[in-house]
Amino acid sequence: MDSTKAILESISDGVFTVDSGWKITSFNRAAEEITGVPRAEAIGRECSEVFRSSMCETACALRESMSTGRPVLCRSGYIVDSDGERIPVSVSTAVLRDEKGKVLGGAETFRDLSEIESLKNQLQGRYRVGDLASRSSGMQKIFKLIPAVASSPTTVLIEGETGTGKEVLARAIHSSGSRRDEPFAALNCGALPDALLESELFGYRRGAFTGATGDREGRFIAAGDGTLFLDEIGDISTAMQVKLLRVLQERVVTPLGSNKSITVKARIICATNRDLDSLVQSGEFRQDLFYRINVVRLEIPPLRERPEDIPQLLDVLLKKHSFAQGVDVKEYDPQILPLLMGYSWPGNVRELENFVERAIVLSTGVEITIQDLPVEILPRRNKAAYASGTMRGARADTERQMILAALENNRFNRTAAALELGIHKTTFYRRIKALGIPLPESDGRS
Amino acid sequence: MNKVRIALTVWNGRIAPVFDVAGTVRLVEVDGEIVIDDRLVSLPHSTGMMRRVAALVEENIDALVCGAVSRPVHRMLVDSGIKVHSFVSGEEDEVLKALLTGGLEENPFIMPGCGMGRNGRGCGRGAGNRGKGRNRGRGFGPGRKEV
Repeated sequence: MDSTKAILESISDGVFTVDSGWKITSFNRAAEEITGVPRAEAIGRECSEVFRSSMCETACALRESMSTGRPVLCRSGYIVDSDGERIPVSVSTAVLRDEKGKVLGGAETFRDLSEIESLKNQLQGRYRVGDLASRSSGMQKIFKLIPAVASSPTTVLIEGETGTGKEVLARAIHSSGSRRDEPFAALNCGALPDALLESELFGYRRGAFTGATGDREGRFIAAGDGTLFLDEIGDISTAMQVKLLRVLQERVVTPLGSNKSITVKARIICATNRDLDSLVQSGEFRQDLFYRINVVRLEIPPLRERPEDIPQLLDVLLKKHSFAQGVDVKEYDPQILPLLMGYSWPGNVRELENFVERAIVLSTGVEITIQDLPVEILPRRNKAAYASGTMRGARADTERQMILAALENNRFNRTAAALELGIHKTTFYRRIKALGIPLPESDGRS
Repeated sequence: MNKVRIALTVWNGRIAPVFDVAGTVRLVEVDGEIVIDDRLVSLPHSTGMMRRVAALVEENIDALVCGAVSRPVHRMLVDSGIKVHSFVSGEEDEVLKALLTGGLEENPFIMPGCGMGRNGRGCGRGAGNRGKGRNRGRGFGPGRKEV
């Protein structure tokens, strides 16, 4: 008996036992340390008031073991310790019986998972830079370059489709380097006409043009010793390209209406969702400007080329938006993962983020299920089946698609379409009527 | 007239062990020591902590009596102007009686590990020695500095 006690005292898992009235009968050293409750105070008290776990009210493992007679293994939750800290724990329980098999009470062992959680977070850190989260090899290459790029003042060109996170990457570069405490100024060059873009970038002096009632400093100056992020650089006019080239070459700007040049100290990061190489070849983008900005080139792969990132992005975005909306962090049904990973995400991470935000607002349960997926994410051929939830619906939808495809293939010639489908013309017409497929006036014979 | 609205998170006839996941609140309105109104309201599970606190604020309560509560939630409650009696345990009726007669700080109503008596340590009551092991000494008050 003494050796059992010695073993219980030496292990790092918390162990306590209760009698059939849920009062604590033993409490080991690790249990004292994890809960912050001294053994002398724990013995004889209600176990829920000593253990204070998120599971006590609704998912008590010990109650389940006592009622079923079977052990419960590794159930996760948290306890609130004496300091008001939530400590993640994993619990296992079993029933205690006497020699005759009569239930004497129960035993619960619990493990403090905070160290594992913190190791997990450190590991996650390897796959995160700033607000970027990725495990894919393409993004990992970029992550490795970020420290070197961040510590140099060089101009950076970020390429990537819309919604891939070009500005997020620019911010990550900014905040990883020595400029992190300086301003980060961003401007979408594609959204502004030339005159406005010029005054936004270079600033103006009072009276420079009608309506210029005061001085205004441009973004180049506003960025100070920080970073200026110029998005949609591929969309600026040739005239603006010349002006921008001059600034990048001479590192000075002259506000409109002024004859005094101001030195530009900010690091420039440009981004585009267009193919600058082909724009240069077609003459739409100046080659000299291209060489000036193409010093370090980072290309963010589209989300469809790195579906392995979707689970991690989902976790990050669910946490972010659950917090923003003041709800408990929602989980997701693992069944939706293959559908999300199979979708092409034309709007990339931004589209995924919009989906998550919408799902958190609209889903009523604790997890996001297949019912919460927008119709475009569901596989095309299964849309009707998911919508109606029946075999009949799925079959009708498949038939409808095959008939429409056959009609289109045969320029709406009904006889030819029926032949292609291998059914009689009468059956073909009957199915068209039953499925309510509209037919055009022309029948493809003329 | 000295009407006070009190909320107690309850479970199985006792104060619920953890406020963060408590499913039922007993709302009591008292005038002095006389109970004017006494009813149960459910706090749905799996809702955010902000909503949980907001639900109590909407009930216009002056004080909350609850079991263990995590620090961020405690802070939210206090910031909402609610007087919080946390880490309380015991039969709900006895706790209510003790609250009204000023005996809630007595030993039988204090959760295990939360100190002995009025000047005891921890669990939302202030500073002092927090026992042993990891992260001790980090109460709501100016606890022992970590080294």
